[in-house]
Amino acid sequence: MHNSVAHEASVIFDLDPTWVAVSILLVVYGVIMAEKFNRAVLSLMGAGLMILCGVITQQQAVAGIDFNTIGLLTGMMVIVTISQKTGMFQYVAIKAAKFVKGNPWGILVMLSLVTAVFSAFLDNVTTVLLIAPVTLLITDALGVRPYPYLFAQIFASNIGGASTLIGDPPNIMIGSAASLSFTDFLFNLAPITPIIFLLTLGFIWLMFGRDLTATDEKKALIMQFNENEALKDIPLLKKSLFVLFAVIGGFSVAHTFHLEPATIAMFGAAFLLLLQTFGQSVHDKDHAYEGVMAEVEWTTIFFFVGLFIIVTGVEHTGVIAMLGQKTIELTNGDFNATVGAILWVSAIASALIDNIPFVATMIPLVHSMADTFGGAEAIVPIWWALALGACLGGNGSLIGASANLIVAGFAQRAGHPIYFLQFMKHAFLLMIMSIGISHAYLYLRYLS
Amino acid sequence: MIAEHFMVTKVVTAQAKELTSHVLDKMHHHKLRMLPVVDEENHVLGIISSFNIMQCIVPDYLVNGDLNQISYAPDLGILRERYKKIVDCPIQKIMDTAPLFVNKNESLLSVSAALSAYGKHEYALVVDDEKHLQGIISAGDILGRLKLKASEKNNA
Repeated sequence: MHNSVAHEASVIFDLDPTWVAVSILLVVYGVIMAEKFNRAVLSLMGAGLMILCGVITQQQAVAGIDFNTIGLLTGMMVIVTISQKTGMFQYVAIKAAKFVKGNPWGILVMLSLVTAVFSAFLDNVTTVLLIAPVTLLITDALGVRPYPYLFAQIFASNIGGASTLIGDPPNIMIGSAASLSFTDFLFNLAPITPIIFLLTLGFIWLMFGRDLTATDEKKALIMQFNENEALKDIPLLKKSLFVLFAVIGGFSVAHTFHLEPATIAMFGAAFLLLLQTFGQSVHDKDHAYEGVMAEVEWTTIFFFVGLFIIVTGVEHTGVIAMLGQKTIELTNGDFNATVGAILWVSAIASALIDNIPFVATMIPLVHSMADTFGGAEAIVPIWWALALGACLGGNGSLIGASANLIVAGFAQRAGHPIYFLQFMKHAFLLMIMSIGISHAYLYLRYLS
Repeated sequence: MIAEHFMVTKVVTAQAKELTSHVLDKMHHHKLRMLPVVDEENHVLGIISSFNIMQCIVPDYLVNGDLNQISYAPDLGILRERYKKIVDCPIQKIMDTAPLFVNKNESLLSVSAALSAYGKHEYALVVDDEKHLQGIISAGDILGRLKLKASEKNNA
């Protein structure tokens, strides 16, 4: 085994490390936005260049990876991959549609509610991947255009995702970086998201509600759906629900026992893998494990790994701390103005660019503000502003969040394309409304 | 044995601008499940099969989404509506533009292996270097040829 010798990196050709690091970051983010190359490959290339150019050493790069975020994401992906095979998501969606007796507006509300709740506890992309096809099936049955339903689902997934630590990747990153627990997110963000959700539904009613009508014959068709048929593996369903609730319960108490969420998620994932294959032959077990592992979104995981290293490189040069100080200067050191600035800048930026790299860059910037504002405890409202801005800002455009693009892809394939400007015309103002409410909430709860 | 010796050379074809309804009639009349689609100079543009048409009628979100099965859904009348739309479309919109091509000098073994690996359907189009259609080989033709060879050997 080699002895790793700690040494400082030295930048090639004696170039200014700040310029090298910032150039790598800007080029990588720019090419990610162009969507011509896989984002995981780009972030790993950028990470490699940070080390090869001598901005940071490999040791510093590895130390910069937030393994709590990586572990939490991977663990939840394994749990969701197994759970989705049981058909429980389709069961709940159909049950919800039948609960309102096939009423088109009622179905929109119920499917949005289901999407919001699932998105709060699972990742948004998985949720819309499972709910959007059922929605299209239901709108086909009702003979109504799917756009209002898919539009509402995009909003529901991003609003639901903003509610909890595990609902959206930016929250996972923020929670891990700022040592904020599952219950911290629940007590601080979950009170405002239902209000935003209800107001959003109100505006959606004003925009589309009156057009949503269906004949009694079509409504009767919805009532003919047999949700019990959707449940394909009841024993696995019981095991999945047990582990899901245990993991969520574990998140709630993890902080008390000084455990990180990644430990809970990874243990839950391993336990569910064990339960899933209990009693099977070794060959079948291996086959099942490999199947689950193949479905984990490794592209996303490696994207995060590369991103953490790129941001570590930029942070190492001191440029992020300098930007943090500039932000404070711009707001004249006023805490309220800083919280507001972070909220609005995060929202607008997240509507236009991927919110994951944005939040990865903002985390060290917010950290750097702690000294000015009186320590880590004092800047907690800034973290909430960042979380609300990044998650809800994703609603502002079709490219604002991965879930939006997934829904748009389904709509396209179903012959009802969602156009960028058409979506933005409706969505951007609604997003601004949600950020306005968030600002009022942050002010009333933490700043007044 | 090479492809030239067992390919079918009298091939019923379709034109890209033909309506799906017309092509379906033609397939029904000739008791065929697949037609090569060619231009005026007999260049292959693709193939159209009954499976191909059915795939277009089934909504894509049911096949390519995360809906593993929809045994819980009643007949919604979606297929009838989509069928009505598709039969009035020219086949160029729905034909498979990446069929399996083989050369007339390829061996029986090579064509059989290519068909097995291809997996989408059981037909290989025999074309020259300019993609002119020269014949067609189905899995049934290959099996028929093997059966004939086996019986000739037994008789001898």
